[in-house]
Amino acid sequence: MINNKDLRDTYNKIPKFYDRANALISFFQDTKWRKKLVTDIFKISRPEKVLDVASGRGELAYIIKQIKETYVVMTDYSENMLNMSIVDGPKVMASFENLPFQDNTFDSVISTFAIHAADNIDGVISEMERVSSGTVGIIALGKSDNRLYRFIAGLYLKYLQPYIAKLAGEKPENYKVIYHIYKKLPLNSTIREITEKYLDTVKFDEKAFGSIYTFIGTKKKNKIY
Amino acid sequence: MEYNLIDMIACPVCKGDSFSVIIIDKNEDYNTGYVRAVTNNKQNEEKDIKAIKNGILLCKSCERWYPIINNVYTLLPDSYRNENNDKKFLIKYKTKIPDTIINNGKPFNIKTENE
Ligand SMILES: [Zn+2]
Repeated sequence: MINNKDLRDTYNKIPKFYDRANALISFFQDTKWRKKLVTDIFKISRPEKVLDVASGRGELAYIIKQIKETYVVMTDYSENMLNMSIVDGPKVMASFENLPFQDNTFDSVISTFAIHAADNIDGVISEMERVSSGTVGIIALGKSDNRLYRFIAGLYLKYLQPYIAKLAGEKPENYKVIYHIYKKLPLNSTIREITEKYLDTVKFDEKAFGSIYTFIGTKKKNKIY
Repeated sequence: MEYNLIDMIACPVCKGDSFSVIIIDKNEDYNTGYVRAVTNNKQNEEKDIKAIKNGILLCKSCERWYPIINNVYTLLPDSYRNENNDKKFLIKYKTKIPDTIINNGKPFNIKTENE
């Protein structure tokens, strides 16, 4: 039985896998989508302090700093990822379900290609909201409410993705973990309900047959939970 | 704008925001990009530290200790911590770490190994 800890361990053991996997699950659009997310967030706010949740090697931090020199704290569960990071800056090894930061610390809290690996997605989004004083941005693996889309995305992740990985000379087993994560994911409508519980939605977009969603939200003006 | 990470962190277990900082060694080649500590943190007496390379953060509320290893603050809840690695860290820097952490540190210490 493959669980989310296995995915985290796979990420930790082979940081390169993380990049390739993101490229594959996003049909090689990961960098473009990250850039779009950051540009959209900068359009609605001017964050000076940003938290990159499950930063990997800092791909998102790199894009943010290219757009505007910003103070970005990188946080990841994987020591190897942080040690191999492509940008200088403050680094914190942490679990995204227990973010070790004070309330309202960051102007923007962003996570790309990571929170699908959480055992408790609700808990992660609630933590992201807690430590943000402004915006929250997310790109993650999702699952369409449309059965046909779900079927197509499932086929791609189960068969085609490991096959492409194999052609590229990599171990397909590692990529099969992603399909197992996908299988267990809640539907995008459920993710939407979670984000709406904690944040005011600015944007919730689905891409690639619903297998990727982009979310931008702001702190609720009137907290009701 | 410069910010201090130490002013932003909270204990992942008790959410306490006050820490003692134990410095094991500092960065020789400090630059603004690295983890910075304590220039204006009221809880800390050390005013001249530019960057900690290796050290310990001790939560003043629940008394858990968290290692800073090679500029990375590790602030994991107990269940995510690696007991062996944490103990190795304590053994490696035993002479530079207060006895209270060596013998009674939470969640791990090396009291028995120490005897
Ligand atoms: Zn504590």
